[in-house]
Amino acid sequence: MSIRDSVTASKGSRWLKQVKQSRILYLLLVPTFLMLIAFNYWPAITALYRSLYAWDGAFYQQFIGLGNFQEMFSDPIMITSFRNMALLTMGWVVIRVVFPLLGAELVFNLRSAWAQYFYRVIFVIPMVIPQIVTLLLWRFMYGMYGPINEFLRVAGLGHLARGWLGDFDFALPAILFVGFPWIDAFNFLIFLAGLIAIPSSVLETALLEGAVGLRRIVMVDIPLILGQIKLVVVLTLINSIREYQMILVMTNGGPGWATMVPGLAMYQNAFLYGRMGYGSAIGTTLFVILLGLTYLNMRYVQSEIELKA
Amino acid sequence: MRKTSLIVWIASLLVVCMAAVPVLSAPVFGPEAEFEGKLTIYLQAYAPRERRATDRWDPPQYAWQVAADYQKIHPKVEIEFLDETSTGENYDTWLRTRLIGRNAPDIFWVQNFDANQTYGPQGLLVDLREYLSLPNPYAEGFETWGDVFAPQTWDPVKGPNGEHYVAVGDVVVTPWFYNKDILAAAGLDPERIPETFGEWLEMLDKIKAAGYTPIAWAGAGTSGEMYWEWLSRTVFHSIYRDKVEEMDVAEQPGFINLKERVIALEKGIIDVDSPEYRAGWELMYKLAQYFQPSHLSDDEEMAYEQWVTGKAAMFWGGSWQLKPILYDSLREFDFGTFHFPLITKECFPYAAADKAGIMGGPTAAFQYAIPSHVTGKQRELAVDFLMFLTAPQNAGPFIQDAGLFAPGIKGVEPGGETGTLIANMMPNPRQEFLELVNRDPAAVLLTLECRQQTTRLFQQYAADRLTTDQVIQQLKGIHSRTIRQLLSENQWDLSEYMD
Repeated sequence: MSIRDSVTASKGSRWLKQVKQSRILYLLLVPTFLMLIAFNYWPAITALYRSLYAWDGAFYQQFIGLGNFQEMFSDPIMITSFRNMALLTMGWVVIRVVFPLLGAELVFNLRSAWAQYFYRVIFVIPMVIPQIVTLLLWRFMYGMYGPINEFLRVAGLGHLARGWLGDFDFALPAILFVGFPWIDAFNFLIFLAGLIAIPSSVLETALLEGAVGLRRIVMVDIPLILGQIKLVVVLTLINSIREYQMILVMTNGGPGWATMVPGLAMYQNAFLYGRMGYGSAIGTTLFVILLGLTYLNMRYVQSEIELKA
Repeated sequence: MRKTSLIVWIASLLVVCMAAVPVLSAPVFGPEAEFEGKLTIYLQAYAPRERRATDRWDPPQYAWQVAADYQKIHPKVEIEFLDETSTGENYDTWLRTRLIGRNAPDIFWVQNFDANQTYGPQGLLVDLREYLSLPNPYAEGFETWGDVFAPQTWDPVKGPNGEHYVAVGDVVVTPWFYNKDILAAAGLDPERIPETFGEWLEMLDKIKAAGYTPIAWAGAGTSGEMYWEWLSRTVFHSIYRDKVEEMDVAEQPGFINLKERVIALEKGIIDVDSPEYRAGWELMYKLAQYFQPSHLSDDEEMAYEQWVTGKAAMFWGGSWQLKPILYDSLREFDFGTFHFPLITKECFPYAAADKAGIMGGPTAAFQYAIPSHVTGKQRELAVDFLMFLTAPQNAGPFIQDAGLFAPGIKGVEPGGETGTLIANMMPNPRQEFLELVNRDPAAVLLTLECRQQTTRLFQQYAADRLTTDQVIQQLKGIHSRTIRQLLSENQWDLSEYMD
């Protein structure tokens, strides 16, 4: 036995010994992993396999190869859905980065610690309201006799009043407008944490160099919280591509297909039309897109750690 | 000696077993039968509940009485009624998941056409035929259980091959509700209802000219699908009524089922590109010009609110809305009802019906099925309870207490608070229930997907986003895909019908 072999053997036995010592902890992890496999990994893997079948979710099943994918990419409704998804994603990335960042900068630059605390709480409170409540409230606000149209009427702009969610030209922008002023609490906290982590010496130097106000934000703050910005961008991309609950509640993809997105099409095909195979194909396509973005996410998060190191 | 006695003993045992076989295998129903266990039941709109502080009228509660009466006969049976849940797509998702997971209630509500087209053929429901041919010990004066059902809740609810998955006990009616004050303000006689489609259009024009919204329409979401379905069925019934015999080639004489609609499309009896089909769409477009401007963003509740607050003159509703309308504090006017008027040749050259098609029929809340995963004694218990529930002395007060629908059980008349109103809504000799003739004359409901896609086409058409040509072109694609899917899934061979 060479020295190298004996070192490897000794490392192996040490590892086994460590595992044995911590066997209770390993055993405690088993249920979590089993659930992960059962509820996260297994459905995803079966969806890949099912996407190659015409399958109704119960009894009818026929192998059709890439037929579902072929249908998906030649279906004008799906093309519209992907276009809507792209538009919404671009819009959401902009507003979910810019406005929380703006909010974080405003709070960060407050001189009073009490005021900082107060505004931080105010911005975060909406986080505890269930999303469905917010969405139903917005649906009410967009109604023909909802507050938005009533405001327009009072302001003498009654001719602009409309059923916003039923208007082909305004339905998609109306979806984007939901949540105004768009201070997403999670993103806001990430940015605020990043700003708080900037060393005071850097800020003092910037002040001495004459970098104040907007100039400091652009020249100092943003470069120093770039890691957080990248993280928020990637997370927003992922959430936007998966998003369909909001559309389901607000418009159900209508009027026509004006607000249809692939996630909703997946849900409808799988659970309403009994076309589980086709729904799986849409899900697989979204999974591939998300996988690419998750890879980007991991890469950016890693670069952030490296930066800190 | 010992051997002989053993043989005698075995022979005796065999004789006893053979004698017991018919007794054990034949299901025994009625007060004499012994049942024990728990029944979980979902009664949809008849689900009983306590009155809440926000209720303006009494909710249905008679199911509790039915359960109590049943438990007097079968004290070892426990009955749990599930609360009323959402309807439409969400319910379908809930039900499909439960059925596949073999976890559905022992008795549950399902639309008979969904049962016949989807759940039944997939083997998820019990075919009740063998039980319906047995006597119902709870219903006196009827030879079989099946005899208790009125004609409108019997033949039309059967599947393509005579399957009977759902016990149906009531009938829904869907009239137009109108505001008498608005009619008077528009210079119309509030007591005179339109007899023909032409008269109705004249009324709508006058109402519009008087500055009122003629029709509050729900065009958004699942409400939009329902309203579109009602409208398309009514209009195309008028166009294809005279083709019913030509279409009625497969099973179930007298009623056009899904397979026959596919045959009709394949043979060109229903031709999407024909002048009459196009004219049908144009007629619906014409009617859409009387809807409120926000109809594509308004669901049923919003449309109702516009009508009940006096912002619109008419609203298409159903018998289930009578109680809300009667008790609604927002309503400050008298209301009347009328049915979709007869479309005549005077105003529409392709009109082919001599009776006005009325939306409604055996598609209400008293439609109960048993899942196929409920077997043995538990299945017999579920059947027994259904026999008990559908006996006239129980079904009558059960339906009347709710006040939502008309009865579809022999010997039961509309009654209770809304009984007279419901009775007045029932079709007269110049009207007929669409559900009893052809529930999808334009073949827009072939599948749920087909229904949703055509709804979206109508939304675009009504909003001038599509021309008639574009609608027809897209419809051809939708029909073609749907037919391919149905032929493949059902393994139908239509060659014998194609001569």
